[in-house]
Amino acid sequence: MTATETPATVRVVARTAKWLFLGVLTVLTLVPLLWLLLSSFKTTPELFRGPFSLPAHWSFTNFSGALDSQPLVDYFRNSVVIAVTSTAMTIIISTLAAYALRHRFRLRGAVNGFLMSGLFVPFTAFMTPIFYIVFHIGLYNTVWGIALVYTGTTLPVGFLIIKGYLETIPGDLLEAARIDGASFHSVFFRVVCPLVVPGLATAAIFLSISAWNELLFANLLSTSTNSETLQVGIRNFLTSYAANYPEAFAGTVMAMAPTILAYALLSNRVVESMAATGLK
Amino acid sequence: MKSLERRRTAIAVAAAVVATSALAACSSSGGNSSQSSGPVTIDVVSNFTSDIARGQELNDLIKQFNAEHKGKITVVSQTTADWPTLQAKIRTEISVGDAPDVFLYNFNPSDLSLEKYGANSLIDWTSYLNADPSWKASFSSQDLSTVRYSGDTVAIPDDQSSALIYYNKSLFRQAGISTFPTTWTQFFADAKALQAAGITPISLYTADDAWYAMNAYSYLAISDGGTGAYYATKLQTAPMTEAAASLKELFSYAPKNAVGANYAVASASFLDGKSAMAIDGPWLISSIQQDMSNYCTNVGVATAPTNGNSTEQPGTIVTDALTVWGAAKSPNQAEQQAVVDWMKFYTSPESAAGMATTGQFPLIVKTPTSGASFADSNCLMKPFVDLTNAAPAKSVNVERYMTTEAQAQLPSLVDGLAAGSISPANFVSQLQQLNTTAP
Amino acid sequence: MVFALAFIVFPLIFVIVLSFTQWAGIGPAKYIGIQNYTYLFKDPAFRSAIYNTLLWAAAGIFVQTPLCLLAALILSRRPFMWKFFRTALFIPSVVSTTILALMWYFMLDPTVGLVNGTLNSVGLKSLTRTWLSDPSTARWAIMVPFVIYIGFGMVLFLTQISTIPRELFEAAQLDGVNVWKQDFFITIPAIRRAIALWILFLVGYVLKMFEYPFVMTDGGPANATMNLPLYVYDQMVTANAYGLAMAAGVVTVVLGALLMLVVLLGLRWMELR
Repeated sequence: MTATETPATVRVVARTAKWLFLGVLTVLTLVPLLWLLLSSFKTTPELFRGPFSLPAHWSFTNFSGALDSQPLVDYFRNSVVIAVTSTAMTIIISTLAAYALRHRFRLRGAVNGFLMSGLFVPFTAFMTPIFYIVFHIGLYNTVWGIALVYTGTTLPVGFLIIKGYLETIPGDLLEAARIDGASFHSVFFRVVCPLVVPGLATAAIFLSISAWNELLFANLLSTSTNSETLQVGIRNFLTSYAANYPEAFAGTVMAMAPTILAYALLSNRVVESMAATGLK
Repeated sequence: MKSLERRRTAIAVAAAVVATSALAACSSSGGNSSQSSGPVTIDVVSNFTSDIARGQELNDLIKQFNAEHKGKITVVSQTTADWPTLQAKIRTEISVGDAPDVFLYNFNPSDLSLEKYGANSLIDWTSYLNADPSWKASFSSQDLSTVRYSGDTVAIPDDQSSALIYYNKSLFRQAGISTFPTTWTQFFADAKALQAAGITPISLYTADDAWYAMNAYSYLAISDGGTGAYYATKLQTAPMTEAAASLKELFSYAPKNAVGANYAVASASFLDGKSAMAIDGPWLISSIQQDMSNYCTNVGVATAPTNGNSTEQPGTIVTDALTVWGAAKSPNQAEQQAVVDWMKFYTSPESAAGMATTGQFPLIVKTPTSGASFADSNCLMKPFVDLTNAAPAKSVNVERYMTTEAQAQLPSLVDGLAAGSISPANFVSQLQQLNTTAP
Repeated sequence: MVFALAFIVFPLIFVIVLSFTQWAGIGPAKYIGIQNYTYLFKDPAFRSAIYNTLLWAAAGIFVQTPLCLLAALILSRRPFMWKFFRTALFIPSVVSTTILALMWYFMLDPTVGLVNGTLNSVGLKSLTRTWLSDPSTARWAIMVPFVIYIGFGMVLFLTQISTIPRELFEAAQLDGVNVWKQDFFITIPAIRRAIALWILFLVGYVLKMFEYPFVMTDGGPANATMNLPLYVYDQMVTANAYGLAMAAGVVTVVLGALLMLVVLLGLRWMELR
């Protein structure tokens, strides 16, 4: 492979193209969000009159109104509990399953394919049967019920992610550990788990966000502040007949702020730790 | 792999333990009201959320009732804002055998599945009505006979809201129109004038139940064929086809985003003074009060024009569906009586007056319109109720009595009609087809 | 396994059985054979739904994924302010899809939306349309948020890229290989598992996502933007035709399995090259 020198002009073009690309995407992403923020200060007529005009009064009425008409704090708490619980459960089960499926046993292919095909299941159609199940085990209108359902429905995704990471661990490593006399379980804990941490992190992000944003089942399986999530709360502002968009936006802004902060803070740590393990 | 299986079972057991402990912890919440001692709890399930007038009024009524029955009955309002989701939840709960204590739904002669299959789990009100003649008399006999299914009175009527035309008088004046048109010819001429003045004549929408568009359509059909122009399965009639052609024309007088728009967008167009007319129910009044200035002078309420011939009596109104309250049968006598007591309280003249004035939502029970509360009634509700009371005939909005399959297809059919890709005749024949596939 | 059984297998069987019946969500179900399925294939709304779902899958694979990848590749080199870009581009993922759909509904509004507004102000008035009310433009218009929000995929790829040992890049650098070639020959192959994963995830997502057409156009105009999940939802919640909804659900699962097969085969074919 001979050394290829990229001529200066190409490099400049490439650089501007790069920045243009990033810039355009960022603008497209951020402008609607800024609009969201702007609109949360408006009144409904102002919103429809000119969505991008400035509001007459920069009042926080929508924010207080949103908090008044819906117990958003309770919803927030519920969303957090559900996201954390379902993510944790899914990760534990997926890791175990992925590890188990590294070994050969009779139904391996079938179980593999079965778990993966769960990815395509249209859970919308499962509304009724899942409702029956949750109701009959007595977890209707509880955060556990919803978390349980999320665990079940996101299992394929979690499994797929973690399996992907697990497969990058060379089999020899495991063999070596085994030969060294490690038991089945300690191989799992001491060897596999540390290596798979980046995968767990990715999976955790995916899963917690899916759980956070999910609306259909949260709506179906909850009827009171015991278990209604933030998405349900926001949806309540947007019905078929009387949509209070500015309050919904205010609610969304309040919902977004902590999650963005959390992501901004955590992701740095997570990525750094992953980079560190990658270098090993 | 034995140890693997051990691991798996351990997890499963752990999960089961978690589940059962959660069960134990949460058995009191999420459960139902059957308790032998202590106050009976009744859940009233509706879409009267607390951010709209009727929701606030309902909450007030509940507070009043709870205070009067302190220690014995506690009523709790459970609201789901979105109507289709609410109905899906109710059906699921009934199928599972845990029907809500009191719930709101639309009576639809094309879809009697709820009445048919829920009959065993729902209260039959006949005996309670007969035992209290004055209560029974507050409902019209016609309404009571409508909610009958195989001899049982399966529900208590709540409301059958009129859909009247709200019009922006100041916009009309801008286009040089001083009185609301009484014939359709005049109406369309006025629409042209409004358009020429740069005003959108009427607000329509096609998403969800296409309420505004279907109100217009129903009025157009009635003016051609009287109140017999359509009924649940009888949709392919000449008046319906002519009305479809007129509806198509009407869309050219609607906002550009009417196709695909929903109620919020369409009502905003009127509330914001962009569209000059909207055909809506009484609940629009509280939005008008909030968002429009000088509404007493600037907004008027009228019934639709007629064709000027004798097919339709002027003042005939199109209404929303008959919305009714169903209630779960309970083995617990105290609970069942509590439900009856609540229902009587809710439909009492005082409560009805409150719902009509503060709640902006007239109920179907005979409400006394004289008296202090109605004197306070605002400048829009009074004409609304007066027009309703004076109506010589009523017809339910055509969409409300369609089969649910037809309702699901309606948005795309109306889209096609408005865009011109479906002819009026085709539109009507498709509706007819969808309505004959009823179970 | 308990969960998989409870929440996937049982409902799946339930759904399959019900797809052969006619049921109004309440009361007994009436067995009607394959009538539901024949109805589905005659229904233009359903055909539009399948077409759109496949369209979205294609858009996801051929437009969105490359965009994610490109962004990830650029940001992996840690240019100036890369952290800002990463966070900014990721934000939509923490906002509910319903709200995003609403945002774009307003952006695309013909009278007061930003899209037409911008076109007007730069003198491109002829390009303005009634984006969501016109069947020919609606189909493409609602795909915009789907394709543009690349945060999720980008972060996934970034995470993966960060696990590639730096030595590989350093060696290539010494050999004088330029950045693009490095990316093409080193990075992409190294993260091909993640790419495959993302594509599979997209396919699954496309089969379940109904908020965009639901909020922005209600499946219209005239079913131009109908997709499979929305069809199932409509049949279940509005039409009370649970049997039909289940049949549509079954078709969705089958389609999903087929798509997954196609994707996996395609990826294997690419690997063998």
